Amino acid sequence: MIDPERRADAAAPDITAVPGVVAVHDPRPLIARAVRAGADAIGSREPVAEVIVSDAGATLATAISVSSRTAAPDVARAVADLLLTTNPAAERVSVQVRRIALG
Amino acid sequence: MDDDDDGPRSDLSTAPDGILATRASHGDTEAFDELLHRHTPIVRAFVYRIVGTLAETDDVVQEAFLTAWRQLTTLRDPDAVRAWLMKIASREAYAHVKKRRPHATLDGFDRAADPHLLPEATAIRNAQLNALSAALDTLPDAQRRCWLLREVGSLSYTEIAEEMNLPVSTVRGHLARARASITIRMEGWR
Amino acid sequence: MTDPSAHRLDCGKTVDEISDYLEAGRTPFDPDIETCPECLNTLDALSRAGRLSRELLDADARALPEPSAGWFEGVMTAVRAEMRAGRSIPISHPDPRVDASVTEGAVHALIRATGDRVRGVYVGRSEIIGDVEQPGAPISIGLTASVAWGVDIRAAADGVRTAVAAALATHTELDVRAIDVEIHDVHRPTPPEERS
Repeated sequence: MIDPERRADAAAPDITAVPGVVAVHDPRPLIARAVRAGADAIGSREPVAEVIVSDAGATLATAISVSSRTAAPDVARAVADLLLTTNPAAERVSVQVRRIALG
Repeated sequence: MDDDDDGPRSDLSTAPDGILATRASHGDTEAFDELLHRHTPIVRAFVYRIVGTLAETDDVVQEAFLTAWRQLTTLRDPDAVRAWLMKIASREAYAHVKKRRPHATLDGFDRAADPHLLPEATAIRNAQLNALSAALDTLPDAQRRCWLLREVGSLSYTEIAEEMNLPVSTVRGHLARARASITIRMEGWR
Repeated sequence: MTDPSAHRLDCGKTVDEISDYLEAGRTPFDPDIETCPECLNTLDALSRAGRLSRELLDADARALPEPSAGWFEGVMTAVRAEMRAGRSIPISHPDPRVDASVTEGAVHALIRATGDRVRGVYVGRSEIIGDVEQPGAPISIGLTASVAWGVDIRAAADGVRTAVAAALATHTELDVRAIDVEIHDVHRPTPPEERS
């Protein structure tokens, strides 16, 4: 059962406000590979603000596009930090960079 | 949200077909977009000759390009991507026609379905091309398909034979018959 | 409906026979046909059919109304939805709970876009060789490109190598040991429509 309050918490962080993030995406269906966690923890969830939260908020996953003006690893780490800050009980946070746009 | 909101794209409009096809086969969607824009007009004209209405042409050509995207890794000669696109379009078009009228072969068709198109088209083409157009429309299915694949698609006899699952000699026969019919019609011979 | 087999020339040959002869490449040489003026006239007429068909289709291509912007978007939306991202290339983070990565597809796109920025260069295919999923594993990059006529090939290759090395160093944590640039084609700088 999804705890509605937990889902509301996950909606709070504005990932697009992180410097270098150009877009945020629904992380499915690639996320099972990236997370390397049980796929059923993620598989049937609907993303909220493009962040998937597993039952009880243990796992969060998102996918982003970044601008080339900021180093992609730095942006990915900043997004992960944001998710950790807003979800301190998280056991796993997954951030996947899907596109680095030159510009 | 999608990933289109990025910086200036490199200008691919002068890139040769071979480069675009190679990149697209490795996942470059922008290269595929350029191929799509570049070859849509001729592929549409080709499909229109086979299916007969604009609405069906729109659908069939969309499906054809999507199929092309999925099968790009099987393209052996990237420089010949145009002919390859025509092959795929011909396949989709004939599959569509078969679905539409499973029992009949199309021995000629009535363009009354798109009357608004005809006056414009005839204004542009001269009388000879009009005769050719009418001649194409009256060809039996198999002859028209061979003809279009050969003369517009630039496919070899062997490629056409593979595509249509026919012996090469039959393909030659269809082409000879089509050529004769078209020429007689265009020359106005009785 | 015209029946070509019924159409007989004054010399006795049918248009069908002449068309078969043409389709066979005019071999074996048939002296009856090749010395008969009517047959030769017919061969000429038959030969025009192909060229005129191409003209017709080109005219059709111009005359048919263009599909809407929505039609093109429809294709590209479906195409992008089917994009395969490839392997996940890890990005380190001090917190062990974090799994951050960049997709192989993103890196290929980066390599292409970076190489394209070098004057006169179009990147063709790129390859990422090595165990990218293993942090610190030795990696090599291979790529092919075409250059515009008149551009110094060696300078272009060096330019691509330098630019790609810098981009990968900035945006990945890959240990790139080698970048192999193969220039395999020369393209004309003029757009295709200007060629006659």
